[in-house]
Amino acid sequence: MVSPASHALRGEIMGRFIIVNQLLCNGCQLCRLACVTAKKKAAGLTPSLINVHSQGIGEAVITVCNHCEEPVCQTACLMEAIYKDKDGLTKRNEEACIGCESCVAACPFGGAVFDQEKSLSLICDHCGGDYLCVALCPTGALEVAQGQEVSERKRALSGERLALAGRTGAHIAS
Amino acid sequence: MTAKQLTLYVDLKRCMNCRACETACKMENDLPAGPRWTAVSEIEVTQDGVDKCYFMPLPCLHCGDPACIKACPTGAISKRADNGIVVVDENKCIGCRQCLWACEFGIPQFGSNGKMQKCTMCVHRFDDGMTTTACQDACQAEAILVGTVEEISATLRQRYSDTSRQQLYGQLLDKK
Repeated sequence: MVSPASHALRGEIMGRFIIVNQLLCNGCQLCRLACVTAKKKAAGLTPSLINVHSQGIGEAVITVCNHCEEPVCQTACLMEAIYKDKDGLTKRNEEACIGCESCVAACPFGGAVFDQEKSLSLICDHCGGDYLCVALCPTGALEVAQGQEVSERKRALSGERLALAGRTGAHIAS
Repeated sequence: MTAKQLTLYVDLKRCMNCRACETACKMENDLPAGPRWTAVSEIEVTQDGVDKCYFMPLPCLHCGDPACIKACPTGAISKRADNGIVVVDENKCIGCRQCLWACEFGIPQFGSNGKMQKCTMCVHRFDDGMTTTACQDACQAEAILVGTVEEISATLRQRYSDTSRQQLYGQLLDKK
Protein backbone atom coordinates (compact mmCIF):
# COMPACT_ATOMS: atom_id res chain seq x y z
CA MET A 1 0.00 0.00 0.00
CA VAL A 2 1.41 3.37 -0.97
CA SER A 3 0.31 6.29 1.13
CA PRO A 4 -0.84 9.06 -1.19
CA ALA A 5 0.10 11.74 1.29
CA SER A 6 3.79 11.43 1.63
CA HIS A 7 7.08 10.77 -0.03
CA ALA A 8 5.88 7.87 -2.15
CA LEU A 9 8.14 8.88 -5.00
CA ARG A 10 11.05 6.63 -5.78
CA GLY A 11 14.16 7.79 -3.95
CA GLU A 12 12.09 9.91 -1.63
CA ILE A 13 11.32 7.07 0.74
CA MET A 14 11.13 9.21 3.85
CA GLY A 15 11.03 12.94 4.34
CA ARG A 16 13.59 14.72 6.45
CA PHE A 17 13.24 14.44 10.19
CA ILE A 18 14.71 15.79 13.37
CA ILE A 19 16.75 12.98 14.79
CA VAL A 20 17.39 12.85 18.49
CA ASN A 21 20.49 11.16 19.80
CA GLN A 22 19.52 10.86 23.44
CA LEU A 23 23.00 9.80 24.53
CA LEU A 24 24.53 13.10 23.40
CA CYS A 25 21.99 15.42 25.05
CA ASN A 26 23.37 17.25 28.07
CA GLY A 27 20.08 18.88 29.02
CA CYS A 28 21.15 22.48 28.33
CA GLN A 29 17.65 23.54 27.11
CA LEU A 30 19.09 25.60 24.21
CA CYS A 31 16.75 23.86 21.77
CA ARG A 32 13.76 25.02 23.81
CA LEU A 33 15.07 28.57 23.79
CA ALA A 34 15.58 28.32 20.03
CA CYS A 35 12.07 26.98 19.54
CA VAL A 36 10.41 29.78 21.50
CA THR A 37 12.63 32.34 19.77
CA ALA A 38 11.71 31.04 16.34
CA LYS A 39 8.01 30.66 17.05
CA LYS A 40 7.17 33.49 19.45
CA LYS A 41 9.97 35.91 18.49
CA ALA A 42 10.59 36.28 22.22
CA ALA A 43 12.97 34.82 24.75
CA GLY A 44 11.68 32.11 27.05
CA LEU A 45 11.35 28.41 27.54
CA THR A 46 7.61 27.91 27.15
CA PRO A 47 5.61 27.02 25.15
CA SER A 48 8.37 25.11 23.42
CA LEU A 49 7.50 22.46 20.83
CA ILE A 50 10.64 20.57 21.71
CA ASN A 51 11.07 19.49 25.30
CA VAL A 52 14.02 18.36 27.35
CA HIS A 53 13.36 16.30 30.41
CA SER A 54 16.58 16.46 32.36
CA GLN A 55 17.02 13.69 34.88
CA GLY A 56 20.68 14.19 35.70
CA ILE A 57 23.90 13.85 33.78
CA GLY A 58 23.47 11.68 30.72
CA GLU A 59 19.83 11.20 31.56
CA ALA A 60 18.23 14.00 29.54
CA VAL A 61 15.44 12.97 27.21
CA ILE A 62 14.41 15.14 24.27
CA THR A 63 10.87 14.84 23.02
CA VAL A 64 9.69 16.41 19.78
CA CYS A 65 6.94 15.54 17.32
CA ASN A 66 8.00 12.49 15.30
CA HIS A 67 5.51 13.13 12.50
CA CYS A 68 4.28 9.55 12.71
CA GLU A 69 2.91 7.95 9.60
CA GLU A 70 -0.39 7.16 11.34
CA PRO A 71 -0.43 9.73 14.15
CA VAL A 72 -2.24 8.82 17.35
CA CYS A 73 -3.03 12.53 17.81
CA GLN A 74 -4.85 12.54 14.49
CA THR A 75 -7.00 9.64 15.64
CA ALA A 76 -7.62 11.31 18.99
CA CYS A 77 -8.51 14.77 17.64
CA LEU A 78 -12.19 15.49 18.21
CA MET A 79 -12.39 18.19 15.54
CA GLU A 80 -10.30 16.39 12.88
CA ALA A 81 -8.00 19.39 12.93
CA ILE A 82 -4.84 17.30 12.54
CA TYR A 83 -3.83 16.07 9.09
CA LYS A 84 -0.81 14.82 7.15
CA ASP A 85 0.48 17.20 4.50
CA LYS A 86 2.12 16.25 1.21
CA ASP A 87 5.61 16.27 2.72
CA GLY A 88 4.60 13.71 5.35
CA LEU A 89 4.48 16.28 8.15
CA THR A 90 1.70 16.13 10.73
CA LYS A 91 -0.01 19.52 10.66
CA ARG A 92 -2.79 21.14 12.62
CA ASN A 93 -5.55 23.42 11.46
CA GLU A 94 -5.44 26.18 14.10
CA GLU A 95 -8.93 27.44 13.33
CA ALA A 96 -10.50 24.03 13.87
CA CYS A 97 -8.62 23.37 17.13
CA ILE A 98 -10.80 23.85 20.21
CA GLY A 99 -8.01 23.27 22.71
CA CYS A 100 -9.44 20.08 24.19
CA GLU A 101 -5.93 18.64 24.73
CA SER A 102 -6.95 15.22 23.43
CA CYS A 103 -3.84 15.12 21.25
CA VAL A 104 -1.63 16.12 24.17
CA ALA A 105 -3.01 13.24 26.20
CA ALA A 106 -2.84 10.75 23.33
CA CYS A 107 0.69 11.36 22.07
CA PRO A 108 3.02 8.75 23.60
CA PHE A 109 6.07 11.03 23.30
CA GLY A 110 4.80 14.39 24.50
CA GLY A 111 5.09 15.71 20.95
CA ALA A 112 1.93 17.80 21.15
CA VAL A 113 2.24 20.83 23.42
CA PHE A 114 -0.55 22.95 24.86
CA ASP A 115 -0.18 26.73 24.48
CA GLN A 116 -1.83 28.30 27.54
CA GLU A 117 -1.95 31.81 26.01
CA LYS A 118 -3.79 30.82 22.86
CA SER A 119 -5.60 27.78 24.32
CA LEU A 120 -4.38 25.74 21.38
CA SER A 121 -2.32 22.61 21.00
CA LEU A 122 0.85 22.96 18.98
CA ILE A 123 3.00 20.52 17.03
CA CYS A 124 6.50 21.00 15.63
CA ASP A 125 6.23 22.01 11.96
CA HIS A 126 9.97 21.93 11.11
CA CYS A 127 9.93 25.77 10.77
CA GLY A 128 9.77 25.49 6.99
CA GLY A 129 13.12 23.69 6.87
CA ASP A 130 15.01 26.28 8.92
CA TYR A 131 15.83 24.34 12.06
CA LEU A 132 17.04 26.78 14.71
CA CYS A 133 16.93 24.10 17.44
CA VAL A 134 19.25 21.85 15.44
CA ALA A 135 21.55 24.75 14.56
CA LEU A 136 21.90 25.80 18.21
CA CYS A 137 22.37 22.32 19.69
CA PRO A 138 25.94 22.36 21.04
CA THR A 139 26.39 18.61 21.49
CA GLY A 140 25.04 17.31 18.20
CA ALA A 141 22.18 15.54 19.93
CA LEU A 142 19.79 17.01 17.38
CA GLU A 143 20.28 16.38 13.69
CA VAL A 144 18.27 16.63 10.54
CA ALA A 145 18.55 13.70 8.20
CA GLN A 146 16.62 11.25 6.11
CA GLY A 147 15.72 7.89 7.59
CA GLN A 148 17.80 5.95 5.11
CA GLU A 149 20.86 8.07 5.92
CA VAL A 150 20.46 7.31 9.61
CA SER A 151 20.24 3.61 8.92
CA GLU A 152 23.33 3.60 6.71
CA ARG A 153 25.36 5.70 9.13
CA LYS A 154 24.43 3.54 12.11
CA ARG A 155 25.30 0.37 10.21
CA ALA A 156 28.71 1.80 9.29
CA LEU A 157 29.34 3.03 12.84
CA SER A 158 28.53 -0.31 14.44
CA GLY A 159 30.87 -1.99 11.97
CA GLU A 160 33.60 0.48 12.80
CA ARG A 161 33.13 -0.22 16.51
CA LEU A 162 33.57 -3.94 15.90
CA ALA A 163 36.60 -3.44 13.69
CA LEU A 164 38.33 -1.10 16.13
CA ALA A 165 37.61 -3.48 18.99
CA GLY A 166 39.70 -6.00 17.10
CA ARG A 167 36.81 -8.42 16.73
CA THR A 168 37.15 -8.57 12.97
CA GLY A 169 37.25 -12.32 12.71
CA ALA A 170 33.54 -12.59 13.00
CA HIS A 171 30.65 -11.08 14.76
CA ILE A 172 27.96 -13.07 16.37
CA ALA A 173 24.44 -11.80 16.39
CA SER A 174 22.07 -13.34 18.79
CA MET B 1 16.56 -15.28 25.16
CA THR B 2 14.74 -18.47 24.39
CA ALA B 3 16.27 -21.91 24.41
CA LYS B 4 16.07 -22.27 20.65
CA GLN B 5 17.10 -18.70 19.86
CA LEU B 6 18.06 -18.55 16.20
CA THR B 7 21.36 -16.79 15.74
CA LEU B 8 23.03 -15.14 12.78
CA TYR B 9 26.77 -15.56 12.50
CA VAL B 10 28.68 -13.39 10.05
CA ASP B 11 32.34 -14.04 9.30
CA LEU B 12 33.95 -10.75 8.28
CA LYS B 13 37.05 -12.51 6.95
CA ARG B 14 34.95 -14.45 4.48
CA CYS B 15 32.75 -11.60 3.25
CA MET B 16 33.98 -10.25 -0.10
CA ASN B 17 31.33 -7.56 -0.62
CA CYS B 18 29.52 -9.34 -3.48
CA ARG B 19 26.18 -8.23 -2.00
CA ALA B 20 24.48 -11.46 -3.06
CA CYS B 21 22.81 -11.48 0.39
CA GLU B 22 21.24 -8.08 -0.28
CA THR B 23 19.91 -9.22 -3.65
CA ALA B 24 18.65 -12.53 -2.28
CA CYS B 25 16.91 -10.74 0.61
CA LYS B 26 15.19 -8.33 -1.75
CA MET B 27 14.01 -11.18 -4.00
CA GLU B 28 12.90 -13.41 -1.12
CA ASN B 29 10.90 -10.67 0.58
CA ASP B 30 9.80 -8.89 -2.59
CA LEU B 31 11.24 -5.53 -1.55
CA PRO B 32 11.10 -2.42 -3.73
CA ALA B 33 13.84 0.16 -4.09
CA GLY B 34 14.61 1.77 -0.76
CA PRO B 35 14.42 -0.50 2.28
CA ARG B 36 17.38 -2.83 2.70
CA TRP B 37 16.78 -5.47 5.32
CA THR B 38 20.38 -6.54 5.11
CA ALA B 39 23.14 -4.29 3.85
CA VAL B 40 26.89 -4.71 3.46
CA SER B 41 28.80 -1.85 5.04
CA GLU B 42 32.29 -1.01 3.84
CA ILE B 43 34.29 -0.14 6.92
CA GLU B 44 37.60 1.66 6.65
CA VAL B 45 39.63 1.78 9.86
CA THR B 46 43.21 2.50 10.77
CA GLN B 47 44.65 -0.09 13.12
CA ASP B 48 48.27 0.12 14.31
CA GLY B 49 49.02 2.65 11.57
CA VAL B 50 47.68 0.36 8.83
CA ASP B 51 44.60 1.28 6.81
CA LYS B 52 42.24 -1.65 6.51
CA CYS B 53 38.92 -2.25 4.86
CA TYR B 54 36.34 -4.69 6.13
CA PHE B 55 32.99 -5.66 4.74
CA MET B 56 30.17 -6.32 7.13
CA PRO B 57 26.78 -7.69 6.10
CA LEU B 58 24.40 -6.53 8.81
CA PRO B 59 20.90 -7.98 9.00
CA CYS B 60 18.78 -7.63 12.13
CA LEU B 61 20.60 -9.18 15.06
CA HIS B 62 17.37 -10.30 16.79
CA CYS B 63 18.80 -9.18 20.13
CA GLY B 64 18.06 -11.04 23.34
CA ASP B 65 16.75 -7.85 24.93
CA PRO B 66 15.92 -5.58 21.98
CA ALA B 67 16.08 -1.80 22.39
CA CYS B 68 13.44 -1.40 19.64
CA ILE B 69 10.84 -3.27 21.70
CA LYS B 70 11.43 -0.92 24.63
CA ALA B 71 11.22 2.15 22.39
CA CYS B 72 8.03 1.13 20.57
CA PRO B 73 5.02 2.97 22.05
CA THR B 74 2.38 0.71 20.48
CA GLY B 75 3.82 -2.73 21.21
CA ALA B 76 4.11 -3.47 17.51
CA ILE B 77 7.47 -5.18 17.88
CA SER B 78 7.63 -8.52 19.61
CA LYS B 79 10.02 -11.39 20.12
CA ARG B 80 8.73 -14.80 19.20
CA ALA B 81 8.82 -17.30 22.04
CA ASP B 82 9.63 -20.34 19.92
CA ASN B 83 12.75 -19.17 18.06
CA GLY B 84 13.49 -15.69 19.40
CA ILE B 85 12.95 -13.91 16.09
CA VAL B 86 11.98 -10.23 16.50
CA VAL B 87 8.96 -9.47 14.33
CA VAL B 88 6.97 -6.32 13.70
CA ASP B 89 3.19 -6.09 13.32
CA GLU B 90 2.54 -3.52 10.57
CA ASN B 91 -1.06 -3.09 11.69
CA LYS B 92 0.03 -1.83 15.09
CA CYS B 93 2.95 0.29 13.81
CA ILE B 94 2.24 4.01 13.62
CA GLY B 95 5.47 4.88 11.81
CA CYS B 96 6.95 7.07 14.53
CA ARG B 97 10.52 5.85 13.87
CA GLN B 98 11.40 5.60 17.58
CA CYS B 99 12.78 2.12 16.90
CA LEU B 100 15.24 3.54 14.37
CA TRP B 101 16.52 6.08 16.88
CA ALA B 102 16.78 3.35 19.52
CA CYS B 103 18.47 0.66 17.42
CA GLU B 104 22.25 0.80 17.67
CA PHE B 105 22.66 -0.83 14.29
CA GLY B 106 20.24 1.15 12.12
CA ILE B 107 18.20 -1.94 11.29
CA PRO B 108 14.59 -0.62 11.09
CA GLN B 109 13.71 0.35 7.52
CA PHE B 110 10.85 2.45 6.25
CA GLY B 111 9.28 1.86 2.87
CA SER B 112 6.84 3.92 0.90
CA ASN B 113 3.97 3.22 3.34
CA GLY B 114 5.98 4.72 6.20
CA LYS B 115 5.64 1.66 8.42
CA MET B 116 8.61 -0.02 9.99
CA GLN B 117 9.88 -3.15 8.30
CA LYS B 118 12.99 -5.13 8.97
CA CYS B 119 14.78 -8.44 8.59
CA THR B 120 12.52 -11.30 9.71
CA MET B 121 15.33 -13.86 9.61
CA CYS B 122 13.15 -15.45 6.88
CA VAL B 123 10.66 -16.53 9.54
CA HIS B 124 8.29 -17.79 6.83
CA ARG B 125 10.96 -20.22 5.66
CA PHE B 126 11.50 -21.55 9.18
CA ASP B 127 7.74 -21.84 9.61
CA ASP B 128 7.70 -23.96 6.44
CA GLY B 129 10.27 -26.29 7.96
CA MET B 130 13.31 -24.95 6.12
CA THR B 131 16.50 -24.37 8.07
CA THR B 132 18.24 -21.63 6.09
CA THR B 133 17.66 -17.99 5.27
CA ALA B 134 17.80 -16.53 1.78
CA CYS B 135 20.99 -14.57 2.53
CA GLN B 136 22.67 -17.69 3.86
CA ASP B 137 21.78 -19.66 0.74
CA ALA B 138 23.04 -16.88 -1.51
CA CYS B 139 26.35 -16.37 0.28
CA GLN B 140 29.00 -18.01 -1.91
CA ALA B 141 31.72 -17.55 0.70
CA GLU B 142 29.56 -19.16 3.41
CA ALA B 143 30.16 -16.10 5.56
CA ILE B 144 26.60 -16.13 6.90
CA LEU B 145 25.45 -18.95 9.15
CA VAL B 146 22.01 -19.27 10.73
CA GLY B 147 20.97 -21.66 13.43
CA THR B 148 20.99 -22.22 17.13
CA VAL B 149 24.21 -21.48 18.98
CA GLU B 150 24.98 -25.21 19.19
CA GLU B 151 24.65 -25.69 15.43
CA ILE B 152 26.85 -22.71 14.64
CA SER B 153 29.38 -23.79 17.23
CA ALA B 154 29.59 -27.23 15.61
CA THR B 155 30.15 -25.71 12.16
CA LEU B 156 32.83 -23.39 13.47
CA ARG B 157 34.64 -26.21 15.26
CA GLN B 158 34.62 -28.21 12.04
CA ARG B 159 35.98 -25.22 10.13
CA TYR B 160 38.69 -24.65 12.70
CA SER B 161 39.79 -28.24 12.73
CA ASP B 162 39.88 -28.31 8.93
CA THR B 163 42.13 -25.24 8.76
CA SER B 164 44.42 -26.36 11.56
CA ARG B 165 44.82 -29.77 9.91
CA GLN B 166 45.79 -28.07 6.67
CA GLN B 167 48.30 -25.89 8.50
CA LEU B 168 49.73 -28.88 10.35
CA TYR B 169 50.18 -30.95 7.21
CA GLY B 170 51.57 -27.90 5.42
CA GLN B 171 54.24 -27.54 8.09
CA LEU B 172 55.09 -31.24 7.92
CA LEU B 173 55.43 -31.06 4.15
CA ASP B 174 57.66 -28.01 4.44
CA LYS B 175 60.03 -29.90 6.75
CA LYS B 176 60.49 -32.79 4.35
